[in-house]
Amino acid sequence: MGVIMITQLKKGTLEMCVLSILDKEDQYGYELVTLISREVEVTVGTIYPLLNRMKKEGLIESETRDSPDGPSRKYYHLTDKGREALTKSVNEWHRFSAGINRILGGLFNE
Amino acid sequence: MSKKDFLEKLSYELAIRKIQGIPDIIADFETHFEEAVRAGQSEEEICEMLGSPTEIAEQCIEESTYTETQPVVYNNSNGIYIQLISANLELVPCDLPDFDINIARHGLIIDPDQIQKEFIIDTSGNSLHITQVRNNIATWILGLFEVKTVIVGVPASFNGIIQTKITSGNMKLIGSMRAKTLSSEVSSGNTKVINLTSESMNMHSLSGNISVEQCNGDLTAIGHSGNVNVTFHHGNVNAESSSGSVSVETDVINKNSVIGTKSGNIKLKLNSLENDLNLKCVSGNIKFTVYNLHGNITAKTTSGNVTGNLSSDTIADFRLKSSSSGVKNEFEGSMQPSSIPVVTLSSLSGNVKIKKI
Repeated sequence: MGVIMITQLKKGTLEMCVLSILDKEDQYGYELVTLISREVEVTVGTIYPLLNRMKKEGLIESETRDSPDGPSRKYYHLTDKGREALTKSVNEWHRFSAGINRILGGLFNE
Repeated sequence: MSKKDFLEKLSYELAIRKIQGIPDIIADFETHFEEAVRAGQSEEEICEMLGSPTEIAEQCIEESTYTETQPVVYNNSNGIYIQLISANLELVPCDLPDFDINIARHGLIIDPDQIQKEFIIDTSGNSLHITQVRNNIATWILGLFEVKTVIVGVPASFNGIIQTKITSGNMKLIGSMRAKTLSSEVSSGNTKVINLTSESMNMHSLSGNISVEQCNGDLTAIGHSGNVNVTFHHGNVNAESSSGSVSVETDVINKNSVIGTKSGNIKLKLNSLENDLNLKCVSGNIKFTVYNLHGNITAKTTSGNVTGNLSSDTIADFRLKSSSSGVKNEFEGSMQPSSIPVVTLSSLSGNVKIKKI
């Protein structure tokens, strides 16, 4: 159960991570998933379906650009809708994690 | 696993889940392999990092339900339409004149205010729509911590359409109920239907079991990796599972029917066969008992055994075949008039046997 909860928690926050990374800089698929997997232990393959869904929802857009020495790359960038979603998510996340931290702090003090 | 194996397995897992846009998804993974190989990783390492194709395909399903946050508009209004993600569904009979909807967590009913954020419930006329929404991260995460159960009390007067779609949750319909048709799709959870009367029941499950007890009407139950179990049924049954086993017990089959598996076993107990019945599997065993045989029965497997039990007064044209193992027919030598049912049993490497009961 614990393991399932942690995986699900990661999935839930992954979207916010993608938005946040793309807010700073456009990225191509491989680079994006590598960046995330370096920081968070995640099943890399599940990020691609997430990207597709976010694209369908209009949070991100993709365009193919030639690369100098390899296959052409699909670059992702944030849309205005994606930027809005990011602000909202980050606020919610801070509220949510602050609550959890208060509970944890309270438990530890006892 | 090699790149080729990975992509083939992924295509297969996506296809059986009827995911849209498979070529685009595969292209993303092909590019990933190319980039990772250039970065010095072996195909083996890349596959390990990507995760299992099954998990990826499951994720695609989860993502596709996530986007359907708008309540689905159905043409027919007389019915129950429910779509859940990470929640269980229970349909039970109730004494009230209208639908009685409750949502429970750990067996306790929760406050309706909490429900409003996560579930869109719409009852108009004699129809009910429930859609689950995950529109912000906090409810999404909290929803996953506490799997909820949606309990719908169905009034005795109900006889409409029931259409349900559940991702990661169980579907239960228990108690004496009627429905014009039932269509249930579960992607990772079990399906249990007891005591339903309906013209047509369609149940699909990807990774859970399907169990149907004491129901009345035509049934189609398709499992993928789970078992299909039908007991005390009244009516026609079509049942399939790929790696699970299928067990069917019904009174009469009077339409052309198929019961099939790939690696699971098939077990059938039938009172009366009035039309053609096809039992087929690849590596499983087939065992059937038919008391009154008036239709043709064909039972074929590649590496399993086939055993048929028929009443001792059965008259049929028996065609038994096993390429590399034993064939035994207790009816051999009996009189055979023309235009009688054909009983065909065949296995490539297993035993084939017909017994009198």
